[in-house]
Amino acid sequence: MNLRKLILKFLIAFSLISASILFFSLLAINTYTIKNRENLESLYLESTFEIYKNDLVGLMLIEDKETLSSLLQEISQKRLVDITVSTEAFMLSTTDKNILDSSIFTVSNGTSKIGDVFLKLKERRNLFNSSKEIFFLIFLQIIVFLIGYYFVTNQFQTKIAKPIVMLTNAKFNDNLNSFNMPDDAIEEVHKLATSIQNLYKEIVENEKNKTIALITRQVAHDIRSPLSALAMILSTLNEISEDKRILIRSAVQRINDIANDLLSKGKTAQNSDADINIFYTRNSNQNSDDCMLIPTIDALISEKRIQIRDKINLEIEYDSQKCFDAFIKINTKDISRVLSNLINNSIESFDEKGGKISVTVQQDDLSTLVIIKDNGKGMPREILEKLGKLSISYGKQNSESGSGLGFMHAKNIIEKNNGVLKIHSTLNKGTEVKIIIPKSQTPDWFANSLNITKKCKIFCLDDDYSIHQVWKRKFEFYTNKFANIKIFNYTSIKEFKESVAGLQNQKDILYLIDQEYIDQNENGLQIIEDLQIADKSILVTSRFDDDEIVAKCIKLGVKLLPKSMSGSIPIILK
Amino acid sequence: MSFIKNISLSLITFISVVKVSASSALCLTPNSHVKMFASSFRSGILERAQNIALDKTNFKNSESIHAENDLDLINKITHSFESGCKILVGLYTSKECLLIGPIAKKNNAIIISPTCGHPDIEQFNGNIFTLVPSLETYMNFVSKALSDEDKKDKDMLVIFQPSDLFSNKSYLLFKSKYMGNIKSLRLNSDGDFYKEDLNLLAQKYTTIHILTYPIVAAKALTELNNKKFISKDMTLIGSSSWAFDTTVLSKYIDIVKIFNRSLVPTLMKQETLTSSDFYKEYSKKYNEPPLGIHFMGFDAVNISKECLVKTINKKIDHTLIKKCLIENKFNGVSGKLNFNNKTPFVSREIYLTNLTKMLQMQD
Repeated sequence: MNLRKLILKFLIAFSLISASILFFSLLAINTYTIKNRENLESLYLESTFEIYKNDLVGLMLIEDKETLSSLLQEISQKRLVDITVSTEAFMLSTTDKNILDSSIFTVSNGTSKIGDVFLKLKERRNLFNSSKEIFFLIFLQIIVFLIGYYFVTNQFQTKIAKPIVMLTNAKFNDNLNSFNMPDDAIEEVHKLATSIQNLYKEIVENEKNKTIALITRQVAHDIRSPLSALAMILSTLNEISEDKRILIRSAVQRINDIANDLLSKGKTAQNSDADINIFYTRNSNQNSDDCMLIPTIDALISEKRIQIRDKINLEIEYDSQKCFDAFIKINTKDISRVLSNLINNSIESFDEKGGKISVTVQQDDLSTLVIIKDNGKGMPREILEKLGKLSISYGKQNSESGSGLGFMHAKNIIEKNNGVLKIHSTLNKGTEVKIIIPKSQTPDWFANSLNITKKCKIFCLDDDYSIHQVWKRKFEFYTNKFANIKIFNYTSIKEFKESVAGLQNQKDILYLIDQEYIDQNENGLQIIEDLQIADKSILVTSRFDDDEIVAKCIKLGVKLLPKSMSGSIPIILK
Repeated sequence: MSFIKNISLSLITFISVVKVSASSALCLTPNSHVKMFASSFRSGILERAQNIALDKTNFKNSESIHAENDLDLINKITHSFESGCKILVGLYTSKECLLIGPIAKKNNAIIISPTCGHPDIEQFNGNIFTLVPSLETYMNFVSKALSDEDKKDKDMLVIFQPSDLFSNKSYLLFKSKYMGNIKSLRLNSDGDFYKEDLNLLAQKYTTIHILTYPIVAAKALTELNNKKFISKDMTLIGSSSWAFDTTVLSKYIDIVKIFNRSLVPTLMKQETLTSSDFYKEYSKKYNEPPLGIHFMGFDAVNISKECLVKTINKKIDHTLIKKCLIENKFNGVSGKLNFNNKTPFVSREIYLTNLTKMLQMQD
């Protein structure tokens, strides 16, 4: 049913009701009139006589019959009465009818009678012989109905129906965003249009997000197979140095993590039209964990430096002094991705001239601060104000990225983990992003220092000679002047075992053992467990972020040290 | 403002005549044993004229009696005549004169009326003296004036009110005297045309002749104008009661101006009226100019006063007053007035006046 039909129905109902009321009112009036007719008639005739009494009396006395006759005709026509005047000398009447049932008014001068005036209504009127009046009222009601119908429909058409149709057409024609509601539309329709426009924008954005999610999922899926192959090949590579292996493994692992993450988010997005912000934060909440920040950033910086090695004039500075044991309350994968995105943003802010990116980590008792600063092209204020929304990016028109996802993801992740992300940027000068994340307690399994005595013997097992050099330089100071510390380096598990056999019960011994060994059947934790030297051992490994390894360390009571932190771990001499 | 006041006063007066029929009587006592009794249908008009006329005289102990209607008027005047009053000044309408005439005749009283003109007053000759010529004389003048217009071969539309005594009689007299073709369009007392006569308006006429009160005529003229009936080549003439006063038509001068010519046979010269002392005195006292009938009323009171003064210290008898009226020529503010013993009607000039100019002067 359209609006016109609805209004028509309403008005017909209204008209029927009003017609009924009109009819019953007339009926009531008629009934009352009939009931009081005699009295009313009497009053009417009396008033008629009083109005014309003076004129009648004068002409009756003068006996001017011609003028009196004209006056009687006039009275008869104006008052709808039959009138007869009778004196001793003459009688004049407007009717031939019997006047005996008329109202009689006697005229006298106080002492003698002048004559009689007979008055009678021409016809008795009631509702059912006043058909003309009834028809007129019905006609009047029809006119009012038609005018009302025209007016109401016109108003509804102009102010409601037409704007709604225009709004609908605009949606179907995909012109909703540029649609302007006519000024004479009612306020509610204006609000409806605004709501629909907003809803339409959201739908468009959601559709866009869905597409992104589908692509993301496909990309993740496609990445996983070559990654597996790469990981397999990596395990067979003996000819490359460990630092390169570590880097490759780390990169492969991160790519794998990202692929897994993408796949998970892609599934979530495809199955739900929920807001993209929710989709990201929910996922990261589920995997929320503490993160060992420094090695995470170390690995990331390494990766980025390789990434930009072709860019001659671009360099990344990194300073994490005094933050050796920084643990923060955030999932490692998430913070890694956040920082990666932000550093990528900085990288992309440079043109061919290049520049400098600095990553600084600081901490106090409660929180950790990460500052990523560049002297790139910066951003204008209007872009800064809109950052954090989808599709808002700056200066990436020619790059593959530019959806605005990176910064939005970073901000959501940080804020979801009770952190703060601040960005300050000046056009043509650069951008500074500060991330403040609450600290978490340093876990027991983490080796935050090397505790040695002056007579301590340090046994180092690692198939990478470069690590031997690291330890040698680190303990060099203690081997000469202040203490009699001795360092024993081994690349072979067999040799190591032979050397430490029988030393299990001795004090002042520290074992620094790598986890993975090329072409050797055992790993570090197996050796520690086998030799029962957990309380004196530190597992120095690049796989510090491997949950199984960490769990095993906790189980055995072995401290764990990320290999990348070997050079920076403090030494405490007892 | 004076124009509006005049209109209002005329309207009120007219309404009192037609609808309310309020009447008044005025009894004056010039000395202890002589009474002069005056009555007026248009009470306020006569009272004002009397006030001006008697202001500077030694007439004191004046008495004013108001009547509500014709019967009341008859009763009060009968009582006054029976109480010794022998001179009655007033009675503006012919109906009043015809009603009171028999009583005056019975009581040997004299009535000096400012405006009664009905020919049937003749039967009360010797008891009624009126300051207007007989309606017959007046209508004879009108019909002669219109016949002289050399258009008597064309149809004239005569508008009159059959239910009004004076209007009806005026029509009958004019009809009997006019030599040309006439079509009569009737009005009721509200000024509405008889429906059965409206077909007459489909025809063109050279002259519209109105024979009813100016206020009723004004409504008829407005209706004719609304119907686009009036055209430039027409002549308008208003007679009958238009002779005494046309002030009310000032409001409708735009309609009157449409006519090629507009005429009214009057008893007074407009120029003479406005230059009179009465005009100035009245205007000063009442802050508005007098109407035509004020002049007539003023003359009626003055004539009564003059005759009363001449008979002072004598036993008042209607024959003395009658003798005074017949033997003297009166130079009133409304014109020169002469009575005789053959007719109640005065002998005086009738002027064919340009209505438009007269209305412009009255405004």
